[in-house]
Amino acid sequence: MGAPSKPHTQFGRLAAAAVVIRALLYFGAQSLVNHLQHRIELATPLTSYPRLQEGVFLYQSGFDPYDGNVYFQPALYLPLFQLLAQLPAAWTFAFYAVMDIAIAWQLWQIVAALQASRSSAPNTPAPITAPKTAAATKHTKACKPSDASQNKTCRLPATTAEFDGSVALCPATVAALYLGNPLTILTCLAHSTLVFNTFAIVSCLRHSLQQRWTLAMAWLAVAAYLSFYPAMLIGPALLILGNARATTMSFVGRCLGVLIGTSLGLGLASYALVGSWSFIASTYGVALTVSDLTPNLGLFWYFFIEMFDHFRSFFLVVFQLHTFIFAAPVCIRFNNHPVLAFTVLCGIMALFKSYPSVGDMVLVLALLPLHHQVFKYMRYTFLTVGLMVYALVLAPLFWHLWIYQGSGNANFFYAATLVYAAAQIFLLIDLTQSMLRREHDRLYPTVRTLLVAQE
Amino acid sequence: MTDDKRVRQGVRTLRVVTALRRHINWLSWGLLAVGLAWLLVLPLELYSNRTYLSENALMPNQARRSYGDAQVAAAHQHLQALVNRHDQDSRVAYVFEWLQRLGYHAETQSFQYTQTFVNQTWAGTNVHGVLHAPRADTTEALMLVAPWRFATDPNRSNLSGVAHVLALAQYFRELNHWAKDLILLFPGGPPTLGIEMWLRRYHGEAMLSPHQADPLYVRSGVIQGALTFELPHTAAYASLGIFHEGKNGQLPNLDLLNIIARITKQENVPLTLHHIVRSSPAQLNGHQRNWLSSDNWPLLYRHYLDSLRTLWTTMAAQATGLTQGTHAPFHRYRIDAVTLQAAPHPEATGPAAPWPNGPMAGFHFQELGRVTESVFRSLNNLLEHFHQSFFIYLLPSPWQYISIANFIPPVLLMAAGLLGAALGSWWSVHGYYQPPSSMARSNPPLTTTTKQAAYDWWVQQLFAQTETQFPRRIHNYAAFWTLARPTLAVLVVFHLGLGTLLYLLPTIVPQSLQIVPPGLFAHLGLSTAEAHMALTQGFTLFSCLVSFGAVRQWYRNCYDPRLLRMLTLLLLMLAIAAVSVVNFSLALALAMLTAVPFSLLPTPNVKFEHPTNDAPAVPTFSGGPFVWRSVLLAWVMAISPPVLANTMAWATNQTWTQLWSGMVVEHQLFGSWVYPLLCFIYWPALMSAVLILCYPSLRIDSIPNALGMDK
Repeated sequence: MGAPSKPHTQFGRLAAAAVVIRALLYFGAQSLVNHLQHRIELATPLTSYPRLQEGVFLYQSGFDPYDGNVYFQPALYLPLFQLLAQLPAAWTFAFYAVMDIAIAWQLWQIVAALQASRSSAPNTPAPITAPKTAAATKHTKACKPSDASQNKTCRLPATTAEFDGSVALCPATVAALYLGNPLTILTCLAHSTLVFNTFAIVSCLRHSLQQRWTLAMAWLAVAAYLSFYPAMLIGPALLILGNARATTMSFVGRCLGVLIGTSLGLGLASYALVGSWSFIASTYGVALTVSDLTPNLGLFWYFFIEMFDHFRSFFLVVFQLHTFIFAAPVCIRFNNHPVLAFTVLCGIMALFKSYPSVGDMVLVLALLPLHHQVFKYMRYTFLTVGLMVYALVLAPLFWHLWIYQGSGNANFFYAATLVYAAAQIFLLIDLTQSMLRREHDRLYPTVRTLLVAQE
Repeated sequence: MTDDKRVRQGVRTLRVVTALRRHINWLSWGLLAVGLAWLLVLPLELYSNRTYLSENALMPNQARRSYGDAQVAAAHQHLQALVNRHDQDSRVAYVFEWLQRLGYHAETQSFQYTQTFVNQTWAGTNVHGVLHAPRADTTEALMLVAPWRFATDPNRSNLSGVAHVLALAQYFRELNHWAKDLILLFPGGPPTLGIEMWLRRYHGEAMLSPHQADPLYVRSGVIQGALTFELPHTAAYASLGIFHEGKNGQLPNLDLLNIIARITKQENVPLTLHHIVRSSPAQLNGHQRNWLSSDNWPLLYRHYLDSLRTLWTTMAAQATGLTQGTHAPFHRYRIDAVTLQAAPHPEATGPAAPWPNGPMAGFHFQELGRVTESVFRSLNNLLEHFHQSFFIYLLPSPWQYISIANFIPPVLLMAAGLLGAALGSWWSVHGYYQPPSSMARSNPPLTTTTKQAAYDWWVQQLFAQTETQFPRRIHNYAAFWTLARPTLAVLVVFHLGLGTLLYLLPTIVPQSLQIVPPGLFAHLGLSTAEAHMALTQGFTLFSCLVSFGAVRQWYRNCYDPRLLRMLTLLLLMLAIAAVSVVNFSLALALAMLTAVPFSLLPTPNVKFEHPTNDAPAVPTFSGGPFVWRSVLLAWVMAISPPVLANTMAWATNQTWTQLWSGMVVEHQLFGSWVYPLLCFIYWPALMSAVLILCYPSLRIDSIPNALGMDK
């Protein structure tokens, strides 16, 4: 981005621009902001700000905030937002804007860490084991002068650096793409509490890449405490941490110890705050049993509205298992690309969790540029982007037809969420297959051209 | 060496993809042509279905009607009394007094609304009375509305309509079958505004500063249906016209129209849509429908033309939402409502007489009363809510409907045509070049005899193909970002910058009128609407200059009109496809205006000389002949909003300032989407088209260097 200047200045400018855009929208269109806070695309029962305010009110008045099936969010939000509620509303907005900038900063650090690891030790993160790469390189070079007439694969970049694209990824680009994403701005304006979850997840990735395993595990525990599903990110996080050291059982044990310890600490703190264990049933319980059937962009609500009660528990298990079942295979297959595994699992969460919103997609879109080296293998870019945009326009329109005009019904909105899910699935499939293709090309350079031709 | 099956598969795929890539423009033009031609099929008698009553509980024409001479006499008395009172206040007082005397719970509501944009204040008084049903629990209600003036033409008074409803009030009081409450409303001021204010208060909406209306205390339950009467002051009526379109494409449930059609037929009252008199019967019998017999052709032809006119008129009303009746505000509150407007009989002279001498041409209060009674007895049977029949339909005649499955394909085809055109640009940007012509349809040369030789030939072709195309693909994120940046900047300037400015203008202009030296606009002889239009054009010009400057100066090396073309087409396609589910007519209007010129926008046709092993491909480029681009530019200008406003004004005998401010008021008062769509999609898309036509060139030879693409 722009002329090379000091990274901090550059980030400062970006952050200032991001705050200005958000502030203009927040203070310029107050009615829009009020409307956004009630949009089900932006906030689910588990992340909605109006519900949070209700919970804070109950908590302040000395009631159990989890009474009355309104507040389903972690207990530790309560004192924080109790404090913010004392201050003018602009402070809450400022707090959310700062959260966005903090996330962008973590992304910046992630890119910097990735680049540092690539430039300092080009072979260490190389996805293919050393002998094979050497063989492939040798083969390529061998074919260059002699076999030109037979097939023209000689342009195959020989080294990792060349393969990763001649233009290195700029941290500012990634941060700018996150901050400038309209969905990020909308989520920020809607005051969805999902941003804390996002912050915990990117912090976990950052500290993993920087090999600070205690912090990484602690942030993972926070993420899991906030929304439970990120627990499945333990696999990729351990893989990243294991890249730099001998992965012994004792190391894994220590990691798990920190994770469980922090989780227990957070749980006990919540208990101390609320004075009962009711928060477990109201946060994780609701996320797992889908007891609140407010429509959202996910795939759960429609099924569980339609379902007969005696099938409910069975399908609940099937649906939730389906979300978690990807964790192990993705980690096993992409054990050489743990960051990709991390991204894919975030995508799986955004797709299959019980209460997703566009905020989950924002995280995936923010992590996506980290894999820019596989973009040239992507086949469905046009389709994915088109479907995604179309779904995000259709969803509010069908909601309008269903809820306000009455000329549509729930099926309309559900159809839009299916299109949204299809777009996400295409994105995930495209991402994984292009990584596999890239790996394959590096292993078997001679057949590369032929495979490209089959597109 | 190679797996035969995979090669064969690859060859097949490549052939299809190659053919698609080569002919994508023709494909998209074909889709557009089919879509446009399909529209002409819609009015065909064969293409539409006969309407049927979906909700059996309604049972039209089943109840005995006893509206008779006594009620007609009462209507004439009321009419005479109203005619004798010359000022509005005493007429309102008359109606209020009568409602109270008849045992209705009556109330008046005065309201006031200042529209800053047209700088006008409207005020009026609504009167309404509620008859609580003797055997029900005040949870459901039906409404009968008679405005004091015609909603579409404020110069025509509707005293006959008011008298008609008053006579019915008296009569309905005497009946004892009501299962729902009856609400009679006589909206004052501009009727649509009066009804809007009444509905807002009835549904408990807060009143914001420009709106002022008294709260309502006499209430009832959920309103399930509403009927509005607009009757000219004449001795006899020729036909009854239905007006049913709401804002944003909302329509009443088809069952409401169905019962009206069936009941008017029973009472021998001619029924039309929007007063379009048909030269052919609205319902053809089985023999007449037989298009194989050439005797029927003249009849079928006339039927086709009638249906075409009906569709055109009703869809124009639906698209703009501008020509509405008093029923339109109801739809926003999910109340099914229609306006029944009588057309005066050409032979009728003089004022209405209760007892005409000799046989009377046309119909009057007697038939209207029986129709209304019958419709209300039928609505009285309604369960819960109108939900059985269609909410989305087109009507070529009151007796025929076209369902959404049959009328949405043309619009979707046109959207698909735009998508194809966008895809063509994308493939071009994405680095695929026009494949060598030998590739697309050629087969292995005849000299190859064996199967193996043929495969080898194909493998060679594949290598030649992919070797040239693969390195040209934009293959990293930063590169694509560099390439896309200028285009995104242009889109942001147009769609967000210009769009927001235009959208905010109607609120800014009246305020700026207070800020600028007093009398400046007056001195220039500009009204608010004209100032608005002038500023609109000023901002458009300004944003054009910014974008042109950006393209010329800042991004000269990387500006690629193909990307702009692709994104503009995609946005347009998205808008058309999305609007089509809400307001089909508006989407169709959008598609008919833009699809053809936009898909004809030049794609810079980048051709690579066939590269050799040593030299990289050298692209050459052409943006189309200058004359052709000028023609397209003129076309784009012709569909720009100011020109359209003038054309529509000429066609509807209004001034364009009326239309223009009407559109703004529609948005501010009734939440119509036409103006935002114009600001955020239509106008910016036109500006992008202008930009593409003025700067179709790109310096593609610099792009690979700028992007760091491998040679």
